[in-house]
Amino acid sequence: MISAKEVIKLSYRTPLVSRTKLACCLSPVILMALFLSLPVIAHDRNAPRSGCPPVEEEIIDLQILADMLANTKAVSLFTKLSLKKDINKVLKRLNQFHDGNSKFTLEQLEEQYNLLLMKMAIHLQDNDLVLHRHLCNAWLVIWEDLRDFDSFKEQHS
Amino acid sequence: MIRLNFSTGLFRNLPLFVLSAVGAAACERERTSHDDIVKADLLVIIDSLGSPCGEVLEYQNSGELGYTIYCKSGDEYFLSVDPQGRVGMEGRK
Repeated sequence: MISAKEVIKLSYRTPLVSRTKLACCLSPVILMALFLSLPVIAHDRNAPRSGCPPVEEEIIDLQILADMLANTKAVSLFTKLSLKKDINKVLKRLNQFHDGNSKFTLEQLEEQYNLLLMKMAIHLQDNDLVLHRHLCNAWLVIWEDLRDFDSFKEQHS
Repeated sequence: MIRLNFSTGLFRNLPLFVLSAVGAAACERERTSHDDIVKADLLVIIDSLGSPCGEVLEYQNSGELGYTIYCKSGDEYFLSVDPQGRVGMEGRK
């Protein structure tokens, strides 16, 4: 058996031509590894909410989340009213989008939805950990339902 | 005793005002741009985190749920959401 030290020594003794050949052989492997890592980079889109603590039952409806928000003691009445108004605005814009009557693109609506959930998260993350956990887990699930025409119309018509 | 004269001044035009308001509300179509909505939301978030801003002059969306925000107060913030769904912000003047 050759030890690791000996391998390193041998690699230094390898002629330059061999090292160049080695680099040429390895380059497709490196390129392939980079190519394979692309889906990982694309998946990073969901990274901000990938470490949510688990919950027993996932919330799948923005309305349920709004109801839970209305019942929490972590948020003041004024903030609850303001958030409720924001939720209704986002739902109205999504409704207009699904009716083909929106000036916003789906990407813009997703950004508005994310900002709405960020506003909710700020109030919950230090004061109502259970609801914050629900919000974290529901973040993507709810958006998938909102963006889908059939799911949206089923829940909000 | 004060008598209200409904035939003159503001009261004469009151039905017209009411009708206009109802009509405007019915025909209301959102005029706010996406950019204005994002700026307003970012300002609410900064305020909620207890940091000064005044007004969001500009922002850069740096990836999913990450924003660099430039405020009228001269403050600059980086807003992000961590994997646990916690909203955090770092700032510099």
